[in-house]
Amino acid sequence: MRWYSPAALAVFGAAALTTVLTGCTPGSAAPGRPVLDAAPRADAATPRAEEPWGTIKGNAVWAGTDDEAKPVAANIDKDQAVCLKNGPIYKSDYVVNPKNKGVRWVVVWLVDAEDYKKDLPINPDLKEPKDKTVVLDQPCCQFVPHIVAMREGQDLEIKNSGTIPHNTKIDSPGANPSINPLLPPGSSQVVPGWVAETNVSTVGCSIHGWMTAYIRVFNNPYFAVTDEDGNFTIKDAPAGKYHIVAWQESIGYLSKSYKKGDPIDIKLGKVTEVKFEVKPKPAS
Amino acid sequence: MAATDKTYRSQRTLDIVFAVSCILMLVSTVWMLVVDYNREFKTVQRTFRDVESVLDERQMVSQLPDRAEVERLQKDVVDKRQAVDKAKEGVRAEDRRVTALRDQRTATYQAVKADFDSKSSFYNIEIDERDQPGISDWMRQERAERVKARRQELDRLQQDLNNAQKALDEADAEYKEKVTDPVAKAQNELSDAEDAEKKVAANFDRFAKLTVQKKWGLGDAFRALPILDAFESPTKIKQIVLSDLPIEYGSFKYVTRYDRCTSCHLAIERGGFDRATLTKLTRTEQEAREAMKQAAMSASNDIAALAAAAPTDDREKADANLLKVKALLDSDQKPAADNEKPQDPYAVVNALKGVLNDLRGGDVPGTAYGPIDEELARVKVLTDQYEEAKSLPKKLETARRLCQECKDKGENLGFDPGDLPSQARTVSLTAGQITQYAAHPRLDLFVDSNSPHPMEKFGCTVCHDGQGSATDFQLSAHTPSDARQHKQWEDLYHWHSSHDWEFPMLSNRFVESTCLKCHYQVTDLVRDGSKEEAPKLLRGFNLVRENGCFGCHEISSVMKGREVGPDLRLEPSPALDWLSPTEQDKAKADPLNPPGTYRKVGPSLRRIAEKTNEEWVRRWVQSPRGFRPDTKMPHFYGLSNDNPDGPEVADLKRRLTAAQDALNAAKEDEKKARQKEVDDLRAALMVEKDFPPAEIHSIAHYLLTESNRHLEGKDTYRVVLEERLKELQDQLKQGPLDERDRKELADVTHRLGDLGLLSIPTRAKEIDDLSTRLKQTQERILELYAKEAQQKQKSADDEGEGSDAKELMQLKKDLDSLRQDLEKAGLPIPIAQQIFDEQGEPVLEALPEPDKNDQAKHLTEGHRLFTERGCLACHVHEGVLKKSDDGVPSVPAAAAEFAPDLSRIAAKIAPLKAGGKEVDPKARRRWVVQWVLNPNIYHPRTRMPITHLTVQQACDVADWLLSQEVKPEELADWKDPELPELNALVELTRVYLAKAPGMTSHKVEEILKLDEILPKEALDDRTVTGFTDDDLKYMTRDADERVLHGPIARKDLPDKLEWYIGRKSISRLGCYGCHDLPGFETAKPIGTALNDWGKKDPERLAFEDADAFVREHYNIVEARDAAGNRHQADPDWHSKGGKPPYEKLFYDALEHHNREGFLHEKLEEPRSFDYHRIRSWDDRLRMPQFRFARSRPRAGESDEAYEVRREREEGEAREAVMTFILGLVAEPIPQKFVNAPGPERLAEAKGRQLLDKYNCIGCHQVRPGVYDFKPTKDSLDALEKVYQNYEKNNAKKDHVFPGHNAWTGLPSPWPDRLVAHGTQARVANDEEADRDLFQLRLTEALRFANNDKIIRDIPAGIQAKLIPEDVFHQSAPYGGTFAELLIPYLAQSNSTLFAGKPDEARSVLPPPLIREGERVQPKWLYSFLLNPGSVRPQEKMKLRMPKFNMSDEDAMTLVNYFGAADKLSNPGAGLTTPYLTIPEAEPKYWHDMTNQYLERLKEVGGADGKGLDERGKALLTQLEAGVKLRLEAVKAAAMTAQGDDKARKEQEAKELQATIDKWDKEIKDGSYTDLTGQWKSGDAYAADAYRLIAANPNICSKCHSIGSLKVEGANGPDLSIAFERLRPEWTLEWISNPDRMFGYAPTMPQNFPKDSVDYKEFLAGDSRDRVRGARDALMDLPRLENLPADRATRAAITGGK
Repeated sequence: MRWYSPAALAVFGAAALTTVLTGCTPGSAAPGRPVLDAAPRADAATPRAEEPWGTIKGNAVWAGTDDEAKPVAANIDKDQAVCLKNGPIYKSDYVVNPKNKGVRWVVVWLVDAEDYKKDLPINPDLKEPKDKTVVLDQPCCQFVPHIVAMREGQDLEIKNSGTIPHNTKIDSPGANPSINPLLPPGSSQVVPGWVAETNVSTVGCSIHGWMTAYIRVFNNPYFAVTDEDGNFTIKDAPAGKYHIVAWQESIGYLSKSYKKGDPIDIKLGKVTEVKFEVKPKPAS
Repeated sequence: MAATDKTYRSQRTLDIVFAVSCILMLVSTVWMLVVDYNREFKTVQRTFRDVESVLDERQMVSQLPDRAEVERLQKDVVDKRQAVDKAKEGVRAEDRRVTALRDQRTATYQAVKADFDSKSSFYNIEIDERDQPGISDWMRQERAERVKARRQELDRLQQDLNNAQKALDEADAEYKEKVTDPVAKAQNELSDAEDAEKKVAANFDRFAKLTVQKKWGLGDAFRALPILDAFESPTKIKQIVLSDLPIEYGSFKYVTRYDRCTSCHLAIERGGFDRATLTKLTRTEQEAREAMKQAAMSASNDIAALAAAAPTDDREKADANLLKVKALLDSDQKPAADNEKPQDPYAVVNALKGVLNDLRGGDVPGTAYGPIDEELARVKVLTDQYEEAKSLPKKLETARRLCQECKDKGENLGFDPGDLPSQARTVSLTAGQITQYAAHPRLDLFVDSNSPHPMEKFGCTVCHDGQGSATDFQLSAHTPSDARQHKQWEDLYHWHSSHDWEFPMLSNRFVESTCLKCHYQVTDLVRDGSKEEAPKLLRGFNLVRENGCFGCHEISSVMKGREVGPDLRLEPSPALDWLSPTEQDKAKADPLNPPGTYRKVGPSLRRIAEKTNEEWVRRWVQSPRGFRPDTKMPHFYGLSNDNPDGPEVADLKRRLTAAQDALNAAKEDEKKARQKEVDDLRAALMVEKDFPPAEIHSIAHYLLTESNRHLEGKDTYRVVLEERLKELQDQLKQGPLDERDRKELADVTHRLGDLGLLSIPTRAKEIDDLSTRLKQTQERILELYAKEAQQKQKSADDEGEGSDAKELMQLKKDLDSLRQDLEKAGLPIPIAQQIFDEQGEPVLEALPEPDKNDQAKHLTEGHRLFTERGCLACHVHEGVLKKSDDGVPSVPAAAAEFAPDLSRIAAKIAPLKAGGKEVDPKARRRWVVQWVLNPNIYHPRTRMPITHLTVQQACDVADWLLSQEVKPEELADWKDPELPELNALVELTRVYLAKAPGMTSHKVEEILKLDEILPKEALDDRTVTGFTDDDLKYMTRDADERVLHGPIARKDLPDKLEWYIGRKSISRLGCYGCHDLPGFETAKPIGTALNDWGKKDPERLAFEDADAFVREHYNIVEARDAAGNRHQADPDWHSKGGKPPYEKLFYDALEHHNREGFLHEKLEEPRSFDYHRIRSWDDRLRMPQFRFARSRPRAGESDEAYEVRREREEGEAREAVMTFILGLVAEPIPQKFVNAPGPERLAEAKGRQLLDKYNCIGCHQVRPGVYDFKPTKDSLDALEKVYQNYEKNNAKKDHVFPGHNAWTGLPSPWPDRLVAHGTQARVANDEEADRDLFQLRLTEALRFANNDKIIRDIPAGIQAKLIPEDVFHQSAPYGGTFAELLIPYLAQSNSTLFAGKPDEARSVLPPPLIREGERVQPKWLYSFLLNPGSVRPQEKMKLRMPKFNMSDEDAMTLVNYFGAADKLSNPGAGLTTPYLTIPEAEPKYWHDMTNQYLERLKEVGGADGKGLDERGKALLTQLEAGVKLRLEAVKAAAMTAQGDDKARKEQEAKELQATIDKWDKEIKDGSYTDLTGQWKSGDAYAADAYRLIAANPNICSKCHSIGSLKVEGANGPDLSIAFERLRPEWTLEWISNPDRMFGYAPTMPQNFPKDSVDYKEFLAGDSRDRVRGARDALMDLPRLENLPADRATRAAITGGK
């Protein structure tokens, strides 16, 4: 099976669109902020009735204690003047909405029921990603978005719209790029060559050790990252029996069979609901 | 007697005799011929011809050219031939024309030339005529005219000639261009095409021809016929004559070595004959399938076993899939018919791989390339073989047809195609024959003429031993590698162990031992940094080193004045480092016998009373492994000759009871005999039952008593020395000493000094001084005495006498005080009195005591410190492995073996309260605190380093360690030996007394006469005789017997006897070989020297009845490893009836009195040679029982499985030790064969020994791993992809340094392999390639030629990817386990910083030292090793480089190691070592750079686009701003300052104001003279370079402090140490491309990518110039910081502060 197709890449030579806001916004749990979601979503194209597509809606809910859910401020030992100007920066291990216990930054995606590596049927409207580039910005000593979920064929633009320099160290255990450039304020760089794989790439800034982001790459549009209420939607998914996988950075896979996911029956033309419990990892 | 024609004997009889003898002669001749014809090697050679032929046939088939390709090439040739014809045709017209032109011009030219030649001869004649003597002037005049005319004519003709020549040349050129060249071009193309055609079939043709030729034909059979075979026989003996490497037959008889091994090992140097290929030849298609099926089934079973442990769902799925695999295997019973659709040959492998991947959950990063993967790789290989076998008949058919076609075409093949085999042939070869015909498995190292050990030079038996001149199996003294093989050989070759040859061939297991004959460093057997070429020997060497065999057995490198082996000798005691320089020089004076370098492996026991108590010592001495299962300390007790619980004791008890019964029942006249029997038995029982515990008690008593005395400064040895010294000095004061006393005086003084050094080496200098002064004083006194005597003889009243007498008096007075000072200086300071910090300075404040409230916090801190501070690099502790509720994460299973397992340390540290029986908790804590703070105080030669803990931290660690209590039930089996009755002590004392000098048996009886058997409790004031004063007179001053000076009260008896026995036992057992013991300062090692043990005549070894012992105590198992799989235990390999397994091979060797058998038994059961022998107690064997493997049970392992594994691991480790010892043959090999490494290789080998000695490799990764792989098409494709990715993503930004191995790889020296160097190697699923790939991070560039034959270099720092099956040899990286161990721990302990970011974790852990030699300056490294400061910011780091207790020499060796290692692996870097100059710190360099920079500024119009002068002006303004800031700051400071300070500040302000005024003026009038001048003359480059690193807020200062510019929260090292720490070249490369230069992806970003224009406003030029600028600024930072311009820059940054 070949997921990576150079031909597909060539088709996307179109204009790049920036989908990310570059404002200096702190914290990750603060509600009411525009959602930064790199996942290219399908337009509101509702599937025609005769076509076998359905929608998945779901949420990730906190199953730990309230104590554990409390945001913990990270130790900011450098550039405090800039980094803390919008209030403290919290650790990103778990980001829980105190109101509805929704867990943010959970990545959810669909896989084949038998073989998690198998290609999925893709809705013709979603055959190609909408945007050529996905942006990972660092406006205020934090990566925005915290989790990048992107499609094979898209390029990643790493960007520093802040006022102090950051280096952006991307480590990929698999075939994806591993680089470590320095980004002076106001600069950006496009990183091509992303392929779909189950390995997650980690992004850090060695100057500001607390800065972390994760990158996941898929070869289909059926993935999502939960918003501040813990909600996600995957539209135009193929109807039928599939598996759904959820992953959170501190816990790993939330699904019972790990990367093979949990069974889901996507109903034709309807909304299928899923719920994931996020139970914090016990200390070793 | 009358003559008669009758013969003397009957003619008939004679005829019969003659006939019979003729027949006998004929028979015996025939017999001889038959035997000769059937000589083993001849048969072997005849069979070999078949093998060759079949192999050639297979190779022919494998080279079978592709038909289409051949046709294409053939067509190409035809085309090209036509093209040639066409070209010839095409040029014909031109040819005709130009040829005609050329002919014409040639004719013209020749005509002119002829004319010219004739005219010039006329000219010459006329000149001769003109110059003829004796002619008249006018005639001369006239002739001169004629000459002139001729000359003119000649010049004209010359001109014509030139023109003709030119015309001809033109014509020639035209001919070449228009006629020759086109044809030549076509012809070249034709020959290329012909070559290509030939090449494509050349190998095929060659092998086809060989196939036919190698068949055993009629001619061969004829030549091999008897008698005829004397002439040019096809079978003959092959031999190698080695006159330089003779065999030593003992007593210096040397005989030339003839090696005839190649007579049978016919393909030993032929690479094509590898085992796998030969095995293939033996298998028919069906058999190949069977082999594949079997391998697949075995892999399937293993996967099923794996699945059994998986969750239900997974298991069921896996089982279902495995069933499918089985069905697949069974289905294909017969080969697929032609018309059937071909099946996927890899269906089985892929299905199995699928199941395995499912079980693993796919691409789990870090999945090891485990045994099942290896199995699957084997299945794949066998599948390939099967496929090959399947296709063979068809291919053969094609081959025949092809040859026939060629022949039909009239090609001369050199053979008849009809002779080619028509069907696939196999040869039937046994496993043994395959070995016989196989090539040497390591042709890259041996045999091959290009290898380091070519066969012609080294032969075979130099390495393998055996009788080289023999040509049959038995006589050449083959040795089986296990009993299984032994049996096979018996059946096949009637092989039996032979005693006729002193050096039988080494069994495969020990073959590495002969490497020692030439490789004396042993570590020089490591190639390429981490590739161990003789792993077993190296392991043996390390085990001998670690277990301290050299403590008792001398292993010296020198014999009879020449080097013959490795050098492992104990260092002198006291250690060399403590001696004064003069003494050190004296010790090193003899270059042939330098002092040993190995420390005693055990801890010093001088102060053991501070650490633990007598009871613990007793238990430990009785059974060290009972307390710490993996301890290195061997067992001395409980062995076969001193086991009180052994069967011998039980037997004796039984016999005693019987004898007693017999005595009771005996009649009066028998009573006496019976009584004697009872007494004898009772005595014997006492020896067996009571002596061992008595000895153990005595040893513990002696150690603790002497240790306590030592701490008080009253150890026996010291007291004796001090007393004797005083006596001798008193004598000296009286008058001159005789020669003996004089010597003794010097000796005693010396020994007292040494004792001081051993007691308290921290005061070494003071002690050395005092001892020297004392010695000098004594010498001087003696000198003065001599002088006095002389003068007295001469005259009674002399002038000088007065002053001498005065001096003498003064000196005499000094004697006492000096002696007392020396005595005092040498006293140890008990831990109870004083604790010392890491510098050796006393800790003055009291130890912090935790109170109840914060105790938990401190324990947690101790736990954390223990985990993070590097303790785990050497130790393990169960406490850190298990889950703890204090919040400190657990560490994944650690396996550090360097230092003891500390899990039970709390039960060990148990010093008693003074005089009491109770453990003193305070002393306990103090001891641990002192130990972790500065271990050298307790054990001065320990290799444990100082870890820079504060006193508080040391207390925390100590408290945590002591809080890890050991449950009593854990140690329930670890018993205290019971003290036997006093009589046992007395009897034991007598054993030793009997050996004392001058003792009679009567005396022995006398002095300890007890009239009854005494219970321990009933000791009273009655006395025993003991030694009288008279006896003492005849004893030496330090005689041990003095302790028994009588009369001795009975109640004092146990102590005295125990002291005496303890001392004697320690002497007997040689404890001081490993430990520093009080009272054994001058004792000599007790064991046999091992220098030449490997060739010891077995006749001289006492085998005794050891084989009976083995038979009765062990379960003799045929082999340790399962047949055909050396990774698994044989099913029979386990204990049976409590008897542990024992390999039959070694039992046989023991039975046959082979060296190997003796050595094996000596290590396994050292005392068993006493079995069935009657020996007095002190004559018994005393070699202790070592356990080398140090196995530990694994989680979830059953007891049985652990036992099997433990016994196997122990067996392997023991073999390693044996390999080393068998290699110690001290054979004087001629110098030219001995491996004499060059200076760099030697430095590398020696350095490696130190890296092991101090366990530097526990923390640091020192060398990358080395991975050999086959450059198959797939692997090359995978690499090409990596290269393309690099080209696309990274190359644009890469500053390349050509020749440096980070960018330019070395071409592989072998055509069949490529070598990659890298770290973090693992097999991971690569989704892009949809298969498993072997991935590693390269540390050196990898050069390869891709499938299109284009040479590529993948630079270092890139993840290389290979096909796992192609990697055929891996050497793991050398070192770095601790850093890798802590990465997952850190990810848990601080997820924000480290989760998912292993490189960030690595950056706070000990750094890899790959390229350390290139990186750091030797001088810095040297001082850093001796006294490590901190490099990276301590608040970010988890630990700091500890301070090792190493000598200056050791530090230098390590420095040389790093330099040499990098010089060897990276010759292109141009490393200089050990000395280094830094041109970047020289004024000349800066002068040149400034000039260049000014030029550059002019060209580019200034750094930020302004002109050169503008730039100067801008700088001035900036400078002034800086100065103003400074002024304000100074003024502000002046306001608050007081007194002198205030005045100074005010003065500075005044000066600053003056500067500002001056510059204001310059700015106002626009002259800028002062400043621009200064700037241009020196500061321009320096100022901008400094600005680049300091004033640019985006780069350096984000992470580094830069000299006086301190950065808060810095992650990187302070850059102010760079100038003395870093090498300039490395710094340049590092700043250019951090990723290329490091062992992991560094956190430092690339600040100046190639072609980047960033920061040009700071430093003009291109990005490479900026890299250089930054580097230059670092290399001269201290000077730069103080330049006025830079001070102003700094003031501008800091706001004047």
